[in-house]
Amino acid sequence: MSAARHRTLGPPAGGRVRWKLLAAVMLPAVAIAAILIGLTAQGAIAANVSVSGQQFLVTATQLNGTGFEQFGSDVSAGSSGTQPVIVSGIGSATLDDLCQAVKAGPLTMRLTAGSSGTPVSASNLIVDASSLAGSSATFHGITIGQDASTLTATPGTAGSAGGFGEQAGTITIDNLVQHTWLTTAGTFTLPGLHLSFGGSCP
Amino acid sequence: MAEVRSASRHSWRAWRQTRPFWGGLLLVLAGIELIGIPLSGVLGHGAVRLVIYIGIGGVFGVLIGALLVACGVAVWVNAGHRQFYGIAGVLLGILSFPASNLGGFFIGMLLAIVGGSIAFAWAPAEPAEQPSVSVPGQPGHDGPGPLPGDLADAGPERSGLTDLGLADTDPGDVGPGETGPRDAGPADGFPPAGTAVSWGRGQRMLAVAAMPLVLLAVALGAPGARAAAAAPAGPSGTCILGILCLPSPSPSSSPSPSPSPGQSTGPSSTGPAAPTSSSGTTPPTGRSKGKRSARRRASAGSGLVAATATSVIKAGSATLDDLAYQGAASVRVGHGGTVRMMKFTASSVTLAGGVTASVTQGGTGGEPGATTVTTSPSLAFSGSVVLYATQLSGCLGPLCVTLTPGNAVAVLLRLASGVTGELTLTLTHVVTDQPLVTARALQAGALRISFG
Repeated sequence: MSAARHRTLGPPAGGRVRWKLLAAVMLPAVAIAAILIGLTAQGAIAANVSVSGQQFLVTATQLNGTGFEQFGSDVSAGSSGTQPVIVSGIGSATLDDLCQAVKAGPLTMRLTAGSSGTPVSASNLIVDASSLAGSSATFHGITIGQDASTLTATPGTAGSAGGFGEQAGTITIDNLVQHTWLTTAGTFTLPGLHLSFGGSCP
Repeated sequence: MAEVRSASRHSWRAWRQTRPFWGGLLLVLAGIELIGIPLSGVLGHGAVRLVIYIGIGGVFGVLIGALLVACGVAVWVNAGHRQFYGIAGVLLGILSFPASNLGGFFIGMLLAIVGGSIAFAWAPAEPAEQPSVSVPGQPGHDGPGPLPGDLADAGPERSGLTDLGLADTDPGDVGPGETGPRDAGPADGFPPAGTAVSWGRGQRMLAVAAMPLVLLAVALGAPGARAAAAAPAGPSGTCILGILCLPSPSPSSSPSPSPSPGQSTGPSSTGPAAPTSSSGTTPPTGRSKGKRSARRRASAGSGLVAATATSVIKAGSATLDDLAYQGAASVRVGHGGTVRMMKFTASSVTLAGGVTASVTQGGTGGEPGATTVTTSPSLAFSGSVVLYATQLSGCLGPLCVTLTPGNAVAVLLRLASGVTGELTLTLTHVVTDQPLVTARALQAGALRISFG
């Protein structure tokens, strides 16, 4: 059991890390990553976001969208079976004061962006929400009660035949509060990105 | 027993020491983390629908994560090509930031960069490379292990990176995923190797370990401080080591697509809501109210397909301007076939007094489906409103009626005898079954959608 015995049994050599090589790779990598983070925080680079599998809170003081559709569906909610959700698809959306709180184990991770005057913008935003609320909402060019399989506002996203759906050319929702199970977007620009732990969205 | 365990532990240690084990492990963990965020919902129940939704966005995350796992495994099984896989891991980690949930919310990106760097920089031990190794197997060091903090006492194997890579990133900036391997290292029964390393190496190790953190702090902390000074944007107290607090610089550069105002993109402009597209036999507006003929047929908007899910809209009152009954229309439904519905047109419809829309669907095998309940104090439809419904009931003063496609004309004639000439009709206790509404605009009050 002694270390000496281990050494006699083992291969003669292990390995080691060359620190200069490590620094030569890691420092440029970290620098590039820092630049990317900075550009994303300015909204110059669009990020790609897709989160699923747990319920999280999304709030925004205003949502503006073009190409809106909504229908009912359900998602798997882990051990508790399926969870009915309201699926909202927006072809192109802007969100003021976006706040997203995700529980990561014991921690709550809070992501805020779009609060510095430039809203967050997202393309092909799809949100599966278990509840949705707004202080007021305005739709233009709306159809309510359309078959969910014939929705066309967000290409590639439609419900099942017979389902109840609605779509609108443009949508504005003030003081949006959603509990969502899935968020995905083709691109997200997140000006004023701020990620912190603890706390929740207002 | 102890011998067997000792032997297997020994061979495990030998396997680990002859390849960049920790670098590969960090790459694998990074990949799993990146895959987990978009796919955790899918893996739970195998809901294929989610995969379709995630689409091109999630594919990037899954692809990058899978490649990182592959890089990590390749580093283990093909240590000779560790430089290639290490660099690939670092690049994938950087790429994951814009491509996959901000690098798995930073965690996966940092794991991949650190792991890839470690794998790249690992080298098999060569005797000439270890000048500071003194007598191997010094018995005095066998017992309780190295003193806490005594880096100089660690042998070359463990000074490798077991502690470095992880001690390097450990101080909390990486997150919970990191603690696993770090703890596994020392607890794994690394026997004290009994070799002495000069303090020079320990200091250099600390310096290298600190450098990325310093760089990151400088890159992010300085502008962050500037932003904090300029505007009261987030309190710095919520920042994690100055890394996860990002600056909010001038918002000028963001390309934000302005929402186009037009109804031109709306579905109504092309078909169903246009007032002129309704029945040819009936004027689209006016007070006809079915007086001309006892039976009336209307045509549904060409592109309109009605939902068949059970849906009901209830409202305390409904104010309908320029209401006209266009007759019974056959509206296509999603499963094929048609359903007979009443077709009304109006210039505006305002529902008030607590509007509740309930939709029940998704039930299978006789089980009741989920019911979505939408509530709002008021819903105001305006601009070429077209309403289809299979049943509509309400009260006009003391007179309460229920309209169906079969009796609508007769009932409306009876109603009309009392309200002839009125352009605006106000009904109370309104219940609409299977509604299908198109309008140029809808203004809703405080809207709430949930499952009842």
